[in-house]
Amino acid sequence: MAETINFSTSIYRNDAVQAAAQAYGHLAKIRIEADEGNVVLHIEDIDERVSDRLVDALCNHALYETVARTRAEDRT
Amino acid sequence: MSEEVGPQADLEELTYRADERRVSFIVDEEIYPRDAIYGAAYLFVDRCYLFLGRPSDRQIEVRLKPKSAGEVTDATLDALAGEFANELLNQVVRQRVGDATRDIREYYMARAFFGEESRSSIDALLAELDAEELEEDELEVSVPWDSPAEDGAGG
Repeated sequence: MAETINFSTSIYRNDAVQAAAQAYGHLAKIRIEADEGNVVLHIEDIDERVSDRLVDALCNHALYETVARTRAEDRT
Repeated sequence: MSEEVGPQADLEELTYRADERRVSFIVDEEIYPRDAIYGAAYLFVDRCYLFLGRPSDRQIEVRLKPKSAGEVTDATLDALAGEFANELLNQVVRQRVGDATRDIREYYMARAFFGEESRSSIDALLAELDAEELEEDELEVSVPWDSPAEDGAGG
């Protein structure tokens, strides 16, 4: 099963989405594309053990990284 | 909160859509700044799967899906959306209070660390302590009669 997720760059940081993709890279084949205003993740070959929640977890990870990195930047 | 049109339908409300396991709603960035949305989302990350979408300029779509494996009812989703909306409001208020009091906070921090007045008050306290000690013993030398007898001897 293949999934495509569009992360708007006006909400999600590019480096945060990349960090999330890297974190889950061992559980699926993830390809990153830069579209206009979006970072697009194409996800294939998802490990069956986590196929029901990988996409959701990856989205959470990207959001968490975005918030954490934005706050860290604001503090400096 | 719900989609039903009530007698106060002319008031702007946070309307939401719910399917079997997910609830979503549109948040206007003019009312709820992005940092407030981030703040609320950050607090829900351990309980929900979240996704933020951009349906149009100045609007963010928030999608929430409970992580719990148990049955998800309409009431659960309704409560979740309500909690998130409350947290959004809380975050906005926190931000506004933070912004409004930033100058005074910075002033007090600077004064506490670098102000002449605070330094002199610490010096005064130290001087007071020294004075008390000197009153008790001018030489500040420990003497045996001040310590309790250890061998039971003495008068």
